[in-house]
Amino acid sequence: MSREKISALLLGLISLLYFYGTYQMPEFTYVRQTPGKYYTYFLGASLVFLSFLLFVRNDIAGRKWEISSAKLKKLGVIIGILLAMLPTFKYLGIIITFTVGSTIISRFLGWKRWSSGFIVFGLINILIFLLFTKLLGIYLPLGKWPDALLFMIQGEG
Amino acid sequence: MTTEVITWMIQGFKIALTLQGLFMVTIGCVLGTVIGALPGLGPITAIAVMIPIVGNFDPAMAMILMAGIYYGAIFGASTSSILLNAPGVAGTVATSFDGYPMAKRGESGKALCMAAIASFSGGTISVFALMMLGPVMANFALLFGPPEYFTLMVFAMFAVTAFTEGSTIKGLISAVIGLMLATIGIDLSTGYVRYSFGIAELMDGISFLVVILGLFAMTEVFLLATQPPSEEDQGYRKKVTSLKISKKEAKQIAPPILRGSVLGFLVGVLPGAGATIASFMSYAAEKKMAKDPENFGKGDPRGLAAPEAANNAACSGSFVPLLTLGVPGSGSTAVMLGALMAIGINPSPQLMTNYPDLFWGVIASMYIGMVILLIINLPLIPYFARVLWIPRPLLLPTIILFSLIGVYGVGFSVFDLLMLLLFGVLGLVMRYIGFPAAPLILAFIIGPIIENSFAQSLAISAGKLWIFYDSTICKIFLLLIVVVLCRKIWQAIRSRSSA
Repeated sequence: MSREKISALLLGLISLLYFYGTYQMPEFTYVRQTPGKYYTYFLGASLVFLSFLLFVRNDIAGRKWEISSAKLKKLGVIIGILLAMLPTFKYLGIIITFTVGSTIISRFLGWKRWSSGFIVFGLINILIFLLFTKLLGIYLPLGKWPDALLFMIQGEG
Repeated sequence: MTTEVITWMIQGFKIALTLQGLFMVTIGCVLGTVIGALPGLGPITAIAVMIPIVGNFDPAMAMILMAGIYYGAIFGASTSSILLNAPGVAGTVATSFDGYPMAKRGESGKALCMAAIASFSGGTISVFALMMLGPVMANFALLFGPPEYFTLMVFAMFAVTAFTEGSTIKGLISAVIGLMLATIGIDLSTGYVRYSFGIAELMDGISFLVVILGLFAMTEVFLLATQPPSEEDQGYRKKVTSLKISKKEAKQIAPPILRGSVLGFLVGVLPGAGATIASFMSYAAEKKMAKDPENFGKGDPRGLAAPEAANNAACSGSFVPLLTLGVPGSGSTAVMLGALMAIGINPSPQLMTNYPDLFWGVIASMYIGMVILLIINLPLIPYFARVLWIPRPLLLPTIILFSLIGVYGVGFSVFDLLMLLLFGVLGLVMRYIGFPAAPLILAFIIGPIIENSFAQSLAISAGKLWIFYDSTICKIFLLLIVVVLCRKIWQAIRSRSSA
């Protein structure tokens, strides 16, 4: 089946889900005479209609998937690294997590030296951290390790 | 009218010439030039990355910075088009037709100089036109009520969809999905939580920063990461040759620059058109007018100057609907509107009347910005061209970093970061199956405004849909929607029959 038809079917499913969501909403009115769900029903119906058009049209250009397995693998690795970074950065903080994560990604993309990667991304992360926290007053997590380190030092002292 | 404009312009310069204003416009121009020069990254990504930073700024300053990035990117994108034949943004594709052949025959400096002069002229003429047209449009905007605003927004959406490359059906589907995504979260008119399917993080809706950075920045990163290394990855290390142009050449490029500027501005004002269409139209017009059209594509300075003037003029022209009517006509201006909404500006046809400092401050900053860009792109261009040396393995993780931190810095939510990745993957899938992202972004940003003006109109008319056909302005916009759709259908039929 062509990618056009697969997309059309998926979009059809999404529109059904949207209709279901609209149906679940309580009835409300902009004014007494007009159901307030007109707008959202109209959007759902538009997607159904457009998906149908996409399904029935015969697009020669849209017949093949053009993504190779090597590309998919590369993408999978990058997304995997990013997903692994998400749960850890609240604990390790943005500087450590993003420096390590960025260096790994840059190595994966062909950067040759670990050390220079760490230095470059470490510096970028520190600069971004200072920009957000000191200049713009936006909180960014530094992680649990500074407290742990302080505790260890104070404990030993 | 003229006295009024002069008075307001003095006020605008008072804002733009403050230390903060000058800093913003300089940073915007430098960042824009750098981002524009890097192939693959566009102004949308750069503006989106800036949104968390401008969150605490004064609206006029935020807009000056974002506008600087936008026209700076269009200005600077000619560098990679000329030197590498790899346009930084779509609007400079036509520049490479004659710019790259000039660089290949050892005239890279001359080509960059011509591009800078053309960009400066196009940008300045266009800013002047914007300044004169602004008050006229503001008076026109006073005629707008909710139904007129609704039809105008719908027209803008259709126009952007119709002018986007590729299938209209796919463009419309993107727009509808954008509108649907905008309905997720609490409905402000009823207080009911819609389409969150029990996920608490979706109750506030999806942050527009997540959608923009996901669909543009992350998707670009994923795409560039999977592409094989090309010429630009090796780093452009050739020297930029002499920047001097002769009197004869200056005379030769002056008329195309003037024509390109006027055409570019007029095209830029239309929602949906923009720098890309303006530059192609200008290139085609010059080629048609030339006595020796066979020289075009082989390094003819006229083929470089005309599209370069047009794309910069169109860029400034696209601020007309945004700053006077509160309607974005392109992906980039939609992102700027979203940023203004995030700052607390309420977009409406009275945007210029309600926020005169914003409008006149931005216009004044554009004059200053053009001079700054001329300096960056003439004597400093050999140094700025070195931006192309940044290797991809260092550039891509940096973009990821800015995107992740930008999104986290606004919502402080790991769920948002997950959504960012999800939208990155969605953007990639959309690219592969040929769905344009610009209509989705535009629809997502203007979706709440469309829904709100729809509800207000129905409340006024006691529920009668006829209100959208009542006034002359509504009728004109509805007619324009029909014209845009018919034109697209006619084009599709013609291309099918010729195939």
